Amino acid sequence: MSATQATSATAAAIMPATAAAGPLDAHVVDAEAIHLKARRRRNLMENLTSVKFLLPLLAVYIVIILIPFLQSIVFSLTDYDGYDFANATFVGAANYAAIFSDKTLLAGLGFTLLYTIATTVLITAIALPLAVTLNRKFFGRNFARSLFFFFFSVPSMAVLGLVWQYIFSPLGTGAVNTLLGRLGVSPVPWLSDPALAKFCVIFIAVWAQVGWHATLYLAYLQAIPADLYEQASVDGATRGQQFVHITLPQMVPAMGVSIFMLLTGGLKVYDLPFTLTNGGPGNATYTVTQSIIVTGIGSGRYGVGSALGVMFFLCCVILVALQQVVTSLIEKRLS
Amino acid sequence: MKLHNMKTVIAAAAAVAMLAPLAACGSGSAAGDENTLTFFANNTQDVYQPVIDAFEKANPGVKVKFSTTNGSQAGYQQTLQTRISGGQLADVYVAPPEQLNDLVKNGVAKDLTDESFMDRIGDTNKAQSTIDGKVYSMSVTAWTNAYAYNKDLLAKAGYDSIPETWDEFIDMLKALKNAGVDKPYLEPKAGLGALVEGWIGYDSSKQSKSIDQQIGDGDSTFAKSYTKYYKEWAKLFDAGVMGSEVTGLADDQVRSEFAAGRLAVMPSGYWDVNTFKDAGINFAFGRMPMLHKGDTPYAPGSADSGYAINAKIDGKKLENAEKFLDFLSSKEGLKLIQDNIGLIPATKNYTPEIDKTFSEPYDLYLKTGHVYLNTLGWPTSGRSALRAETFAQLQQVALGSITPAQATANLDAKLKTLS
Repeated sequence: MSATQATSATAAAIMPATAAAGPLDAHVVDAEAIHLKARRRRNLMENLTSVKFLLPLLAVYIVIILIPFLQSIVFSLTDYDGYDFANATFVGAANYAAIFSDKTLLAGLGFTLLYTIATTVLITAIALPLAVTLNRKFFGRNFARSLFFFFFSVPSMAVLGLVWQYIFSPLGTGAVNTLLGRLGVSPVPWLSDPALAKFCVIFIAVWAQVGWHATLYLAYLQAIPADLYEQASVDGATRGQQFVHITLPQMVPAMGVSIFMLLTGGLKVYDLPFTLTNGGPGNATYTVTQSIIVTGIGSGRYGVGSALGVMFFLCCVILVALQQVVTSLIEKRLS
Repeated sequence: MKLHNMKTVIAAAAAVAMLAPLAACGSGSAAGDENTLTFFANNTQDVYQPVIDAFEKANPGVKVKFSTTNGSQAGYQQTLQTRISGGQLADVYVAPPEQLNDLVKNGVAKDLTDESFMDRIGDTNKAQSTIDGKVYSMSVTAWTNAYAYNKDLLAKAGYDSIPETWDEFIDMLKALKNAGVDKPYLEPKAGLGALVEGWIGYDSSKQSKSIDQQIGDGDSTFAKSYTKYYKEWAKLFDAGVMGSEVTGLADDQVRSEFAAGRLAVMPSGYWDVNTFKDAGINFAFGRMPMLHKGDTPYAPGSADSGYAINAKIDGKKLENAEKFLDFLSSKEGLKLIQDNIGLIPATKNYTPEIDKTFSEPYDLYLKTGHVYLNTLGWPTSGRSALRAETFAQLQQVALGSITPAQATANLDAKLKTLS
């Protein structure tokens, strides 16, 4: 029951009593009713003020997100070339049909999904135990926390891609291959083999993001009441049992937030594969966003690029909605 | 002030603070100041600044406001397009030849045909900037690819220059490998098959319409025209003188290998002269081998992007823009462009001093105009996507996952989706 419903119910319970009460009681009840009215009015005013504070953000959202998105829908139905929309003509669903006849785009979709699923699963699987470890007391704990947060999450993905292309260089002079060479191992074609290139992109993405997500989990972990663990210890629960029966259920909301961010970030991935492999070798690490930019915007085909963007948006909505439903079901089951 | 009013004021102030940055995006053209010229270029400010300083010194009172973008040529083209669609076009800007048609069609490039400074521009450069008989950009420089080679490594196999034909070149690479040179030849992943354009350029010179123009016009296909060239290029892998590791090598990585003295030959250009000199290696630039003995040498290259004037400016601002182009094409401007931006002037009024390491390709290609760029023949819409696709297909040929014939068939399929 919400606060408003509760207030209404209280008022409803008071009103019949007014009719049966004497004049003094009636005065008291009237005063309460007036007080209630005043409180409602005050709440309304506070809500209105809150809305006013949200207006700037709403305005920015409308200008930066909503209007361009609506424009994209319009562009996707035209042959707009990016210069003057007045010269564009209506082409119906032709741009949407063009998307499905392009093999490169389909390859991009395949890797984007692989990247999204792999990074989401791996980061969640590593970040959660890492956060639990960082939550325990040990010498240098604060330093370790800072290390994971700053070193693993600050650098931009584009810069990481440029740096890691030297580390994973397929030549014998690459950083990793130099180390392997000292151990007598032949150079590994890290970025020049389709399967290994996919592995490299996913590995770097996991390495770069795991610290940030561990920090997110750490924040939620610190909100779990310590007495839950104390009671479990008294009852003889092992650390593993405590993790499964106390930590995990308490972490479901945090996992919901983290997975949501990983899914949406993964689907939109562009900078890391672009700077590390430029979508190659061949189209092995090509992404949907790279398609939108190269095939659409970069080629002066804003109509096709917009159609791609709209289709991609719908896919994202479906995927994220599914994730929300699943998270909500898990939360209900565990609560 | 009452608390409620105070909250409203704070909310309003927050709204203004959030929205102000959105409104702060100024116009690309400094409309309020006729003596400030906005200039959008495809290179960094540090290389253009000496040119701008000299212009401002020669034209007291006129200021140039420089802007550029990241992301190499493709990034520049995208930003230029975005700025035009957003009404943010600079007064003077670099107009890539691939985009010139669209720029003219959308009325943002001024007709420069009758400007006095255009008399200085070479015919090849003028031709590339001409649409329907009118010249819309002033291209003052030209570029060509060439093979950079390490003289010391070549000497190990008994060579002192790049051979004339492709088969002889592959024999030289084999000899280098046998002489203990681990990396005789590498191409960057986004430049695979560069010299194929030279072969197509020569074959196109014997026809009334270039091979790529024929493909663009639907008179031919990649499968019909390109397959034989790609098969020749794939000999590098068949002969074992270049490996599939090139599919994972960026331009800088190949350059680093050469500068470190580990690589014998790589496709390069005049822009690398200083880098290689600084590295202290014994190097020179040579020809790109042709398919047959007696073929006229051609190399990938073209006139550089020209400088265009925004067709929507007028009055004093237009006068200043014309002064700027006049300066850029003057002897002083051209020397500054060569010295600071590393581009080779190709005008009638100025003979550039070419570094002696680059004299062979300069004489072979730029003096003669024997350069060719395949994208110029392709349909305007989708050029960059198609060029990216050629590299993606050649990477798959390098990996051995498809044949040259399949690569060209895939290019035809891609072209179909772009038309």
